Amino acid sequence: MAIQLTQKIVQQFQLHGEKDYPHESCGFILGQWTNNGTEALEYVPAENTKDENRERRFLIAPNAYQQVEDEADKKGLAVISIVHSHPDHPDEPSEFDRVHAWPGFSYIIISVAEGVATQFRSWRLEADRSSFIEEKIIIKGNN
Amino acid sequence: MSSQIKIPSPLRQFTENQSSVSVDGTTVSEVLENIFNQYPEIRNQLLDGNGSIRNFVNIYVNGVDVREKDNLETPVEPGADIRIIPAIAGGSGDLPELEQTELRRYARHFSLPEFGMEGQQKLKAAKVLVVGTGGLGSPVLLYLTAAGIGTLGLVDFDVVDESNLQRQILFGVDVLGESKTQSARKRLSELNPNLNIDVHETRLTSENALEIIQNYDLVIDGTDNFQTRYLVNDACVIMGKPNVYGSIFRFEGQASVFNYDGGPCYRCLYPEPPPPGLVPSCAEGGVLGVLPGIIGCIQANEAIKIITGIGTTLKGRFLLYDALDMDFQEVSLRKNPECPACGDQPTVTELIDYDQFCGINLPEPDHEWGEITVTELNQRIQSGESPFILDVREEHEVVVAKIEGTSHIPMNQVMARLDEIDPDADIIVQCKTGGRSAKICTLLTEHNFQNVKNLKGGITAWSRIIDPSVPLY
Repeated sequence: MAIQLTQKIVQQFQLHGEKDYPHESCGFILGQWTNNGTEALEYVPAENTKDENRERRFLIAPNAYQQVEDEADKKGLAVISIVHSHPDHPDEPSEFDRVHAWPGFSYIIISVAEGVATQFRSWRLEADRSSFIEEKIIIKGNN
Repeated sequence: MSSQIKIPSPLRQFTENQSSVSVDGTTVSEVLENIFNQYPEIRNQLLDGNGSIRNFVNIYVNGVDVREKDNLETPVEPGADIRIIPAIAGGSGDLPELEQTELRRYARHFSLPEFGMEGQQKLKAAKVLVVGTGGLGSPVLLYLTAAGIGTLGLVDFDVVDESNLQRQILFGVDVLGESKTQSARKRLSELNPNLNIDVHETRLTSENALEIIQNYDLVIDGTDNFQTRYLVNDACVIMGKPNVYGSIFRFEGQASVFNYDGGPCYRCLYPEPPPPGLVPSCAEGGVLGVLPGIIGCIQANEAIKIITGIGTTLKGRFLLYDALDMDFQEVSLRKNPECPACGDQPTVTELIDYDQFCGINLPEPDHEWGEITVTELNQRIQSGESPFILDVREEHEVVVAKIEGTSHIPMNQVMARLDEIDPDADIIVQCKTGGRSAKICTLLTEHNFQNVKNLKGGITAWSRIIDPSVPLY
């Protein structure tokens, strides 16, 4: 399994993470399934609607998710990934991330250190919900 | 006729890539069971070990969240549109783990479904600043310590006085004369040794307030004067911290939550302080000892709700309590767009001189009577003079402490008993600290008494400087 990103999408979610720093940024990636994983086609930023603790928590309102999924269905795509930033924290999923996750999404976590997006990794939850495993990321050229 | 249930993208791997499934059932529970029969792997993604909907999973029937209806027992009409929507959540920085002793200590919290383990972890992660460790601060600190707030900051500069013990239940006779913050830290550590207690043994001022407050998530205002109340409010607005407010006077108390989650601040309610002297302090006006216990507990309760995110807070609500009538009233508060602190165009963008703002320490207005210090008065008495000293305090105060050789007429009887005072005498008026006696000096000069002087600092100064055998109260 691997997720294939474009440079443009990477740039978009990194900039979003930097712009929302010190709060957590969050967004969706629409794309499609391929033979060996998923292919990302579009980054859709979302609003972090958490009232407090936005430095270490994010929440996307259910109706925002619903809209994005309907849009993806209309285009014949799927929501393949949830992206969020960890301001001044590593790009590893927390326990809180695990209990709020579903298998079937790629969870991309961006580490934003002092306002600069440094690195990011992608994680998938095992079907039995027990843990996350890191997923390979392939970045395609600039399209 | 069956209902249509839309499957979210990530779960389609469990439904043979079906984006929508047609299922029978008259309740959400039946519908789900039918899906689980067909696609068993979905169960664990939607329900937790107890068979309840996982807290990040929302199920909508015809656009309405089933949590607002009867949850899993919500009826499903034939042809209904059912959607499963995740509330996408996550974040860094895990909540702190609880140790075995903590698991035992907070067992009664875990049994509350709204609270659970996570609520307790949030309390452990929380940092709360309590400004003032007196009447309100005592119950606030005792309950927050017992409840397991991870870090508590204490601000006070005072020492424990005997007159505090009637309401400040953090302190006993063994710590009379000792630092309030240090005594409080000792007491609170005995109650719960696992917490961080930061002592700020200082007066909160415009110079240090932002620096102190920035390290905390939430501030509890247990102050007893307008200067500090405005200072706490403005500092909380500038730093974006919730301010849990309480105040007490005689038999009446107030409580609210300011500057929280888009709600109003104290200045939305009172843009400016009352003129100095209009509202007496508790030292002058008295306070029922139980009252701060009640209001302080309300503040502690609000703090815990804000930290754990449960229940409905006093945001935008002003609670008024009358201990004599046992009456709670509530006034709703709106955020004022013109508020100088938190409005659309705030003018308070940094901390100011709050003594000046509240009219404290302004030059005294001119008056025709003179003043005398306790040292001067003592010298005159020692040199054999016997001035007429008029004590204008109330009867119950005179019983506690008096200066030898004084004449007593309570303040509100002076007008009716002017004929008891010799108009040619050298009159010195005395009260507890010099405030009430100043008013009587004015009254006497208006009635043509010529030689009137106010005793600066009253009997309190007399006890401190001249005669320690006169009790302080």
